[in-house]
Amino acid sequence: MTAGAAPAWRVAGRVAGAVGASTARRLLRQRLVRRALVWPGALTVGALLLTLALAPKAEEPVGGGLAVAVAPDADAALVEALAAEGLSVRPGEDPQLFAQADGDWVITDPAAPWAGPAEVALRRSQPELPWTWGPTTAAEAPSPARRLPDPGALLAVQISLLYALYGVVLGAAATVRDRQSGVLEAQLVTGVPRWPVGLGRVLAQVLVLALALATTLLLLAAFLALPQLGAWVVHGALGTGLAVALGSWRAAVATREGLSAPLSQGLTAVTGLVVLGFGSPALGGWLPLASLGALGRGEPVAAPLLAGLLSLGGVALATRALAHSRGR
Amino acid sequence: MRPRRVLAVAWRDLRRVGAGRSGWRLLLLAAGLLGPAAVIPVPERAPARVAVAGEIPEALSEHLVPDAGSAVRLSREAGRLHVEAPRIRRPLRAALDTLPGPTVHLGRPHPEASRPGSPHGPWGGFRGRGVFVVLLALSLLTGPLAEALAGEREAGTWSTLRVTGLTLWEIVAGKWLAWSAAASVVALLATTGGLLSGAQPLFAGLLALPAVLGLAVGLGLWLTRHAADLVGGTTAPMRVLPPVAILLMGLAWGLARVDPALAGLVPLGGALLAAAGVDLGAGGLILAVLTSLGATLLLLQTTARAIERPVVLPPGLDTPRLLLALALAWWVPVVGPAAWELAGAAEVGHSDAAGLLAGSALILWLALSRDGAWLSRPRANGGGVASGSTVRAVLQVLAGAGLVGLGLFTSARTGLPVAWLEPGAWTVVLERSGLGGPAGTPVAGLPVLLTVVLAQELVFRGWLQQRLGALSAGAAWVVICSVHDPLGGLVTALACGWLAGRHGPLAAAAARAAAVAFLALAATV
Repeated sequence: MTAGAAPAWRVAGRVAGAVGASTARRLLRQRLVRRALVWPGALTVGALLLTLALAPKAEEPVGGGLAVAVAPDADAALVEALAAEGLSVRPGEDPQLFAQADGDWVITDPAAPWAGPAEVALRRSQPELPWTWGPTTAAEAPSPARRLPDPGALLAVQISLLYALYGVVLGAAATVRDRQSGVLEAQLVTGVPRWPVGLGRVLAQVLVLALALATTLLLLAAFLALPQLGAWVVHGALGTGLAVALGSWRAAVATREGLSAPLSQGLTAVTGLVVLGFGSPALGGWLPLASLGALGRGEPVAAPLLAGLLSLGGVALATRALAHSRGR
Repeated sequence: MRPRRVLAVAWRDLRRVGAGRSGWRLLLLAAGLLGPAAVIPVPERAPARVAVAGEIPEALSEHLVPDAGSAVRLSREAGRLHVEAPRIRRPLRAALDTLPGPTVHLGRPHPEASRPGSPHGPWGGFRGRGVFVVLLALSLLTGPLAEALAGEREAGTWSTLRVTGLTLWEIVAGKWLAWSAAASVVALLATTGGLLSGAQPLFAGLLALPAVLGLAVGLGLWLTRHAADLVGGTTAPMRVLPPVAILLMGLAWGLARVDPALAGLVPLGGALLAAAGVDLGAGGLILAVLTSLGATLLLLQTTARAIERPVVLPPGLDTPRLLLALALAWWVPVVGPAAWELAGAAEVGHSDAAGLLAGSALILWLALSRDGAWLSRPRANGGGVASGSTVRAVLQVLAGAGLVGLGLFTSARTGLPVAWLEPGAWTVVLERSGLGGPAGTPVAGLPVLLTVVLAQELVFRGWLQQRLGALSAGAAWVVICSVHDPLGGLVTALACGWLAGRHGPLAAAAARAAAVAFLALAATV
């Protein structure tokens, strides 16, 4: 270092910052990339709002009493039991509650608000049915073995997986694109240290994706309860970091290959890790990407120390591979 | 169209993408993924035993386990089994229905429900394996689809193709042929493996597999018709193909419950349903394949026509649309969740803090994606170095904070905020989102509110003030973000606009944050 020159770390920082800023600007300038970033949030919120708009219309009127149609020749005991359950009985040609020729009974619309009371009345009034039902208000304890994941968490894991897949796509496609067009080569021969160039490229993509993912998760949490929101954001960022690193690394080392093989390998690895976490949350909670699967199961995940270290390792690997990348 | 030229394009595409070792790797990966997916049999899972309290009859001991704390309680009443439970869930119902005697069917049984594979049965013959194989084959196409058109443009070989005398239709058809054939061969090999191993039953719907993959490739080419480079070319099919496939399959499923043949009318959806093992009947299957092929042809034709047409980018947002976009970006996450209450599902949990943060992030993204340059400028109005010393700047910020605080306090005392709005879910959320006064400013939520203040000031006093001027940006902020507190909003807009003009949006944010924090603390004390 000559006298008066900036220290090496400052030069490296400036190079990484400049390359990172230009990479991020280039990403956000592309219409298809902007659409891709907006898409998961827009799709989720659109679907939820549509559900909200349609749900009240789909419900039958409540308050004026629930009505159920029965066959004109329905027996008196059934009619009486239905009335006792607060249902108004409407004999008609198209019954919603009727007996089949084989003795079995049919409730045509089990999701309707009248279906529950109607089944209670039916079972009480028909002695040949082998069991009766008395609804209680006791809280159901979820069975640990069959506990269903939270709907918010299930949506969040799909959204996070999509962003992680975007990470592979952006990492791999941007590397192949810039290698083919010579941009990567030009960035690497400017006389500045090479590794900050790779680091800036990877970090910019991670930053853009992680911020977009965090926004989408916040949007989801605004509409649906999302337990462990902080953990989702942190592990989501680490997961996208590893995904970008995977895509960039595979594309950078596969200098004689096109986009398809590295991309497919990266997409498979990312999906496999998330599925591993979903299937085995105890193990997955420690690993980047797999921790998203574990969170999707509603399991508490470990502190993101190991996941963070592994993601950093991935970024370092990708940085090194990009710094030594050669033209095709 | 000249078939030999189409074949030549297809062969060239396969060789180009599969050049070198990558061809083998892609093939090995496809075999490694699809082979096990198709061949390994899924073990039957034993149904879960339901925990119940009370005495379990001998006949149900296989299906039920005793648990004194269970919400499901069994007893004997007049010789019959009586179940007390909040609801009868599917496993419990299945167990109880094993008792001898007539049963109660939930849902109207279709006359054909007993036919194997009928869509009117409980699962309609649906086998997830077929769909899984199709989805895996599709996921492997992401790269080749991006390379087919966007990759050619990127590498500059598109022009070379065009000077060979090939028509656009021949090029597009050749590329479609290459990748739909490749995907079909891989999927059919996997299915054959499944058939040989016994994991995959043989049914006529498997014939629809190539139609599904062909339409998916056609859709992928159409989606990437204008993609200028590999990055754009890969993101489009990835985000669009899965939801479209799921949506169309859902639509076909709904129609199949009316009449199986009707499902065939839905391109992609009908064929996907048939490939998944749902029996649509011979007519439905033929219809599904034909509609999918027709849609494929239409897509290929549209792609060939549009591929060289210059892309007309929509003009940038004019001011009214920009303000509308800002209003939507802010209010959808902030007030949108209150719709749960309107829909009668107030128990669905949601987070007001997350809504506020999401609204703030969205308006920042909107400003950044329109023009990110404003972030690098230190001064909102671009007007030279700030006049006076740092001390004077700090005093001005404090004066601004005082003005904002006074405005908000006065407005709150007059009862103006929110009071003029109809009470209801929306008003509650407006109050909660309230940066409008001490009543709506809880100390616990202060970090969230300060983040919101920073985002609003950066966007309205930073970006928008540069575009529209201080007065218009301030008016926009009052209308969009402070509609529930016009008086407090007006004073805030004037004070912050003045500060932003002199020292930038961060100074305005500091003044407003100080005022809001002070009022929140004072209200709590």
